[in-house]
Amino acid sequence: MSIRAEISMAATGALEGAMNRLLLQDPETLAELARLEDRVVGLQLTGVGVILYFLPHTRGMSVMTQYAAEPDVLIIATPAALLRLKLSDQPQPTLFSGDIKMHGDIETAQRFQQILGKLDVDMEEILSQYIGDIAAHRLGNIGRGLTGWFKQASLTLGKNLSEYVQYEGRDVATATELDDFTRAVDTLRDDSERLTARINLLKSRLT
Amino acid sequence: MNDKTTHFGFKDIPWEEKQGKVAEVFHSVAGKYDLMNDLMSMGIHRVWKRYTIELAAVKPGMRILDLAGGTGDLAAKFSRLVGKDGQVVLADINGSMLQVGRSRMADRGLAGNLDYAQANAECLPFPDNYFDRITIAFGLRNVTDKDAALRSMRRVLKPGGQVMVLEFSKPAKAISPLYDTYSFKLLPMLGKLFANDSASYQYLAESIRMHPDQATLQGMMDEVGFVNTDYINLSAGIVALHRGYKA
Repeated sequence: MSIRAEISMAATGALEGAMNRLLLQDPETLAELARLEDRVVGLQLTGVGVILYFLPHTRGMSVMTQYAAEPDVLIIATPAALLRLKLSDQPQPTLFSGDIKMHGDIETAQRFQQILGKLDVDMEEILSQYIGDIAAHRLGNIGRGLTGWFKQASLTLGKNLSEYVQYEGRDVATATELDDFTRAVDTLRDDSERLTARINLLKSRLT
Repeated sequence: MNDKTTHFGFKDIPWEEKQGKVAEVFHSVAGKYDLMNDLMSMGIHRVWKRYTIELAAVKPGMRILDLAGGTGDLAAKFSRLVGKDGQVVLADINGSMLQVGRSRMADRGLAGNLDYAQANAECLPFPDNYFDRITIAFGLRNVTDKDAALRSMRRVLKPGGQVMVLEFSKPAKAISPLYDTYSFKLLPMLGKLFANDSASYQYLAESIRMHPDQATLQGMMDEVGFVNTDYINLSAGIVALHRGYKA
């Protein structure tokens, strides 16, 4: 087993541990999760080459990177789309905007997503294990800056000021800008993968 | 009178005494078994076990035997994976270990598809061709007659079934000096400090050294009739995961 595989196993264990610690403090969510006890949810992070399988049970959740049978539902998403889903106040539009695809039992996926949405999971920390700290932190910062500021502004200063800071002051990114940025990250990743494949092809012709 | 001898750590002892002596060690450490594993592996045993569980490719409905299952780390995960139509048997020769494992499973609310057996790996009390998977994690080195244990495992395994032996093994040369210092100097000291039982930890360190290396164990598995055997070194060979199938 390579060091990378051992790190991935350790990361998956840490993710499972963190989620289960949170779940233990939240009996209501834990009870909802237990209703999915015979279900398996797969989450494929495109561009990262990682599939995580979530197996809910009465005491929390098992997380695995390999599962021998078909999961009840497979959710396919880019890390950026997943962050948007977690950070968004209205996850449903993100879910149906085409950035996230699902195969299988959609109801299980939705119930699972609703349960996860109630948990205060540090998605940036999770993603950093697979895509690297810096990339995850940048994505997270932008997301946090936007959502954190948005909530604060709506409570204290009102809509006008938020518009000023976003559109006139240009101090923080708008939701559209965040969307554009995360899409650009996805595109850049796809482009770089294509370029790598192209270089490999050319190399193989040379040898 | 049988004058055959076997290893107990670095000592040679009469063959028939090993089982009792190993039992003493595990009665002594049962309550602190997880702490002991964390000390011995610096916590990495969780990664090794997780890898074993993932590679076991367990499907719903399967029958699994977790031998020398100790406190049930693997059995708990298998229980969720096989689902209500499957069966997991947590077996250990040591009553104290099995008691700790059983209580822990009950505390976790795990029941229904879990059974417990106090069983000697050398003569397993199960029907032929019964299990889809057999795992033995950090247990084989404590078995007196390893060949008999492997033969017994093969007997109760279904054709096409897989056995997985996770065990300390021979690390790469580059890390050997560091590993020696850790296991012979630091480990018994930690055992004394945390469990007030340096002798048991001394045995554990020594038993690791006397265990067959990767190629030897693979040869032993071939010898008893497992097919397509292989092994995967984990953490530079400190531990190896051996796999074999029943044809």
